[in-house]
Amino acid sequence: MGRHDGPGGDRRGAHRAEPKNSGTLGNVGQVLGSTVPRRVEPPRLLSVLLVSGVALGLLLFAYSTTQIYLRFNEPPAEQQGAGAVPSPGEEESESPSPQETPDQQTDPGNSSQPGGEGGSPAGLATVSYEVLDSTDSAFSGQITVTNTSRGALADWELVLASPTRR
Amino acid sequence: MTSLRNANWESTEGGIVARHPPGTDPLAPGEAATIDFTAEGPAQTPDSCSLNGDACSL
Repeated sequence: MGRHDGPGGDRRGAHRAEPKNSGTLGNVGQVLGSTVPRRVEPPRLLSVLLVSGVALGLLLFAYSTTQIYLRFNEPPAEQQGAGAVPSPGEEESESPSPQETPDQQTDPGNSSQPGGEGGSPAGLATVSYEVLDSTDSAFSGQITVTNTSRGALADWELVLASPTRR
Repeated sequence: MTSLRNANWESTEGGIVARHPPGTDPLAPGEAATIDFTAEGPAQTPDSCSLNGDACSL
């Protein structure tokens, strides 16, 4: 009776009915062999630096965008307490706001627009007058001319008239 | 009006005329020019005001 050497002929010591890779160790070996790569290469330094740089760049870009704000409108000019005066050469090509126009023309006699003044892209300005100290014979104060326009105000001229000249 | 600072000025028949001092920068948007003055007599407020020929209120 000859010995039959089948495909599992190299399995010495194992019973012929016992399947190949049977037993606990065989199962563990199969699981490990199927999930763990044979060789795990460590991450290369260049790749680590590249990924870190990209991540840092994205982070800085995201942070920098938080500093950007949009300004669509100028803050409303303060029209309280002092009169608004359109300066010469005013070029408010935009649609004039209805609440500003009546204030600018409080004096009908001066409602005409003066001629342009060279080099002065003017707009609105306000004038305030304040008495800071006074006695019976003298007083002192402060006059403030505020440029409330969108352009520079150059060569302004302020005329003040009093009932009695001092 | 006896004195006025931070502006060129001259006395007129009914008041004063103050002008932007030459050689100084124009007023930027939002910027203000402050003029200090002293005057004789009791304190009073001018009854008329004009800036660059246009009426203003005080």
